[in-house]
Amino acid sequence: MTVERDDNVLAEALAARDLSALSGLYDRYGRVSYTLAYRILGEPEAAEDVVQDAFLAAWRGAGTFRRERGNVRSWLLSIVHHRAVDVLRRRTAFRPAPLEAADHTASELDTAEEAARNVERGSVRAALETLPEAQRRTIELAYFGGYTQSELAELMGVPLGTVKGRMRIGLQKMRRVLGAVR
Amino acid sequence: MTHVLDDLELYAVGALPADRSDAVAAHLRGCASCRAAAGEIAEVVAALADTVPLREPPADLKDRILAAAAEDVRRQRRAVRLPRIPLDPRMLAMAAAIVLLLGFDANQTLRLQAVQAERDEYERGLANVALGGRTWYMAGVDQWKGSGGNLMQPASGKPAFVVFHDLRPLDQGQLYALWLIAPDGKWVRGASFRPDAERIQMVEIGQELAGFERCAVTVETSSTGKREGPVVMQSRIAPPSQ
Ligand SMILES: [Zn+2]
Repeated sequence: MTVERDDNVLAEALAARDLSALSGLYDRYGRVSYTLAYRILGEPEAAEDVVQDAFLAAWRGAGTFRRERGNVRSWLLSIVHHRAVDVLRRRTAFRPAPLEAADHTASELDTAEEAARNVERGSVRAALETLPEAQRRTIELAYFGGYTQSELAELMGVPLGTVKGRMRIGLQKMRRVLGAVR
Repeated sequence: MTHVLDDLELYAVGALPADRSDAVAAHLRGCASCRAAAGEIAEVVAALADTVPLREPPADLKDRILAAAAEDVRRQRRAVRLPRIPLDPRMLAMAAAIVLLLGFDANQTLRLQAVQAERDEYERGLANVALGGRTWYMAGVDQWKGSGGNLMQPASGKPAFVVFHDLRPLDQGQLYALWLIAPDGKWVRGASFRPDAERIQMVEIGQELAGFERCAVTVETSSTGKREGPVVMQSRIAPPSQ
């Protein structure tokens, strides 16, 4: 996959403190990072702060990137996710309803790569929708809502083991579905 | 070793309690098979971000990030910031040296968090030193006890440098001189520098190490000329291999 090869080149340049690699990384993943942070935090300022922190953390920690621990995209998004959830958990009062409809912001398709990515986005949504409601909710509440396993157990009124099982089976199924379309 | 496959999904979505999450992370650092499984799960989890309709970030966010990163580089060049972690200063100096060997320019000061955060990086660095680079530790004497420095000769052909720790401040008009001493007793100045008040300070040597058998640091009042001040630290360095 050429995106992945390009990404690894980018990661190497990043580790060598090349600012243009950071710029390239942002061009590629800035939008999805912001989308994720916004989805978790529900407001623009906090999402911007998280994205900025995450890209700087990636910049400073680029030497710690390991291909064997996932690709560049998942590495970067895990930093964004981690920070966004941190911020969310520090707020005691507000958590956006995890299943609220996110409003759509149209994005222009400026490259073929992005067009392909958009087809893929559609298939990821579809993959998530193939899951039984309980598995899908478990995944979404954890990933977008920042709920911990025990909070999930309490919220859904099931034992911890069930939370773990739903998460595991749901993600395994998504992986199979995604593997089939990719 | 107890593998952590069972927890990898919850780990990847961030739903484990902090102590368990730390334990999984620690296990992953040392276990290639769990790491591979975690990598695959991480990619599926990252795909979840694609289930949300894209939202456009503000146009200036990229510039802010790039400006902050550029500032980061400038700051790093000025000084090394140390984490407040109690650690043997000799190891700190070594860690600093290792960051350099791993690809920083020798005239760049550095950020130690990177090494300490990532143990395998650190170990790789140690291996690099052991495999090709050489290092000698200079211990401070008299009032300079507690100060010290690692003289590093990278294997990579980069210039030699010293990573000092806990250098005592000097009076106005004084400076440190780093010397290389030949078997015939000739002292050659490798560098002159003022302590920069950071705990770790790196000094590059404008001189080949080959042909010298000792190195020393003295306190001088001039950045040129012969050695006049007292020796405050020194070490024997191995004779050249050829
Ligand atoms: Zn394992």
